[in-house]
Amino acid sequence: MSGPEVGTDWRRLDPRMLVVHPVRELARFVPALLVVLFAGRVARDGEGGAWQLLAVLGPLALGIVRYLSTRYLLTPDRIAVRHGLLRRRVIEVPRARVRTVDLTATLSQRLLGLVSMRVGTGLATSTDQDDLVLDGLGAAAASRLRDDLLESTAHDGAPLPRPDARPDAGPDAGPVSRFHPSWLRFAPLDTTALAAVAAALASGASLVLQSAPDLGRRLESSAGTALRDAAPLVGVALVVLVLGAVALVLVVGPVVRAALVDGGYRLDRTPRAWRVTRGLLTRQETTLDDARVAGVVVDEGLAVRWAGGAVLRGIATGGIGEEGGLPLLVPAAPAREAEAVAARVLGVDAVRAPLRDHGPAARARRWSRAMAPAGLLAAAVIAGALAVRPATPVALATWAVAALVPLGVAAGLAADRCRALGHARLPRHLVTSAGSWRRRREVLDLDHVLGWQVRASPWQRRRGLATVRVTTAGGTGAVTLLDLPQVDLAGLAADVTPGLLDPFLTPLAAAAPRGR
Amino acid sequence: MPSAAALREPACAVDVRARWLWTAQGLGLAVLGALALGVGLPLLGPAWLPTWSVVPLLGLGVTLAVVGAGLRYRWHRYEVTPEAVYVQTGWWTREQRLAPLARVQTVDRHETALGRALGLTSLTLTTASAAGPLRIDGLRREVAAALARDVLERAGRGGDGTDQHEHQQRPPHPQQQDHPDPEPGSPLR
Repeated sequence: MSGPEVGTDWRRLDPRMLVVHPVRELARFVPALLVVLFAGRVARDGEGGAWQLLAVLGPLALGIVRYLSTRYLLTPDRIAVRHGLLRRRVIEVPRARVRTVDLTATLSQRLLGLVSMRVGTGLATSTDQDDLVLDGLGAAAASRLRDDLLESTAHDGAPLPRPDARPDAGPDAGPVSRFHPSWLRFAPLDTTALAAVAAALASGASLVLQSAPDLGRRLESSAGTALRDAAPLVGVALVVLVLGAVALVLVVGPVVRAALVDGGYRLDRTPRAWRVTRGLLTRQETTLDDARVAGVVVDEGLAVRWAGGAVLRGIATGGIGEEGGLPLLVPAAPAREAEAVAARVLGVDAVRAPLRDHGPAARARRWSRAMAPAGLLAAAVIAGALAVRPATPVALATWAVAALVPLGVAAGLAADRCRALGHARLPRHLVTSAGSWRRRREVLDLDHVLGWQVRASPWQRRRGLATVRVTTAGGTGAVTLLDLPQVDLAGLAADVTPGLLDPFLTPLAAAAPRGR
Repeated sequence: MPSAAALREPACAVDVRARWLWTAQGLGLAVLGALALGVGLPLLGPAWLPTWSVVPLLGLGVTLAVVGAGLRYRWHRYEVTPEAVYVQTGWWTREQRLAPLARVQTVDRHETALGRALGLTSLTLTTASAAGPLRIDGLRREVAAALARDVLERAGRGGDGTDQHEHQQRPPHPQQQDHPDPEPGSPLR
């Protein structure tokens, strides 16, 4: 077996990193290099030449030092890496504590057949610095080591097929899900992208409109009288042109970003894990062990949902790098794709389970919470109209529209939130759903439930509601049942954590039980 | 299981002295705020806000401190059974947190300077969830120590929800525990 072998000696990373490191250092030094090269040209003497030489050799030397000063150790019971020449740092992880092994390959590494391996222990508090990273192993060796590390932490249960039994060589060969270019249509509809578009369009428009008269005047003075009559037209054309360019950038930008990050996405099933691979240039591979999957989240922003799309994330115990406890399972894709994958991951079609509604009191709260701020806004607009006393019908209509639009938007949001709100209890899963602008359906495996948090403001108590959080080690720490009728709590608790809440329950004489 | 049942309040109130502790803390804040205003208003305050307005503001602060401490004492309750720990906090938005003892990971005791003088301790129990710990304030020192001991005895019996070997029982790791020596043969040596 070539590549990483178990032993007692400290070994260097793959020597091909000697090429990668200087390239990286050079890229990091580009601004400084430009300055030095420019200065050297200006100086035009021997000194400048020496500086130029140093500027090129410096990064090269740094890269070589970085390579030479990093060593790693694999023993049957631990894995360790040692960094640094002067300040030495050693990170050690017992093999039994390894929870995650993720592989990433930047473009330069991919060209050379290298990957970087991040070994995580699943500490909720761990930061990037605490993770053990082997930056630069041969790709084949790294994936063998990955299988090996994950296997040594796997269950006692049935013996694992040898890692070299290729995961996609089974009877149901091929990935569970793979990227389709048409998925890129969801990229500009992402909630954050949309907010950016709206903000940029608004500020761009106001900027252009503010400077338009000034622009016209300047054109007038510089281009003479011939342009005087055309100046307003030029202004309008400029506005249209700028807005068009801005919109293009804001649409094309997210699409390109999604293509680079999600392009080449595929989800594979290995004997006891899910493996997500994605990225056109930098390729990253995340392995999600079955034992770590506490559930899934179907994430649907308003616009993406209207376009028929959804994002699927796992609720994972033991965070994975930047994604925390919510590793991506399916990027923005048609909702049926996300839901089908969710059903495969959970083993049951839980995300499409019919929801139990939270009742009239919870719906009333959706309405009051959406309408109260909109009502205030409308009242302010009406007060403004009364103060200004618009004379023309057009002005009057504008004021009326300004007062009615927030109310209409709020009503739409409230109705949509009412549709989304609910939960479902399946034999082995709890399903929750809420939200409109950012709708989330969460499914939690009951084996992963830790405890309860029941929270009620005076307004909620008056209506007999409470926001119930079922805590778990995975994801963000809990799944939330928004505005659950308090009379439903006992039944829910009996299903989710049988017996746990019983000693703390008291008969609710006043309220009649709601029918199931 | 009656379907029309609600969570009752936890059985135990915290120590009565907690009320004096919280009152004292609130009064301290009120007096500090009043002092700051008393110095700041003549120098920086707007003309329409005279310096003597500190007096009614101080009165308001004192009232809030006394009433707030009373309400906090009324609603902050806890209960520990052989299976679970149950804590209630908050007089406005009320929150009840419940965790099985088997899932408790760490038990942390801490005392403020004023709390030490009154012999009062806070207890923080964490689980593997990132959604927040269970915290009991204003316990008598001996009660807190006994509770911590009881909880630690039963903690970690069923795995903490993160371990892939749920059958392999991990000992609880209280934060007071000393760090073990680095492994022999550690390259740092």
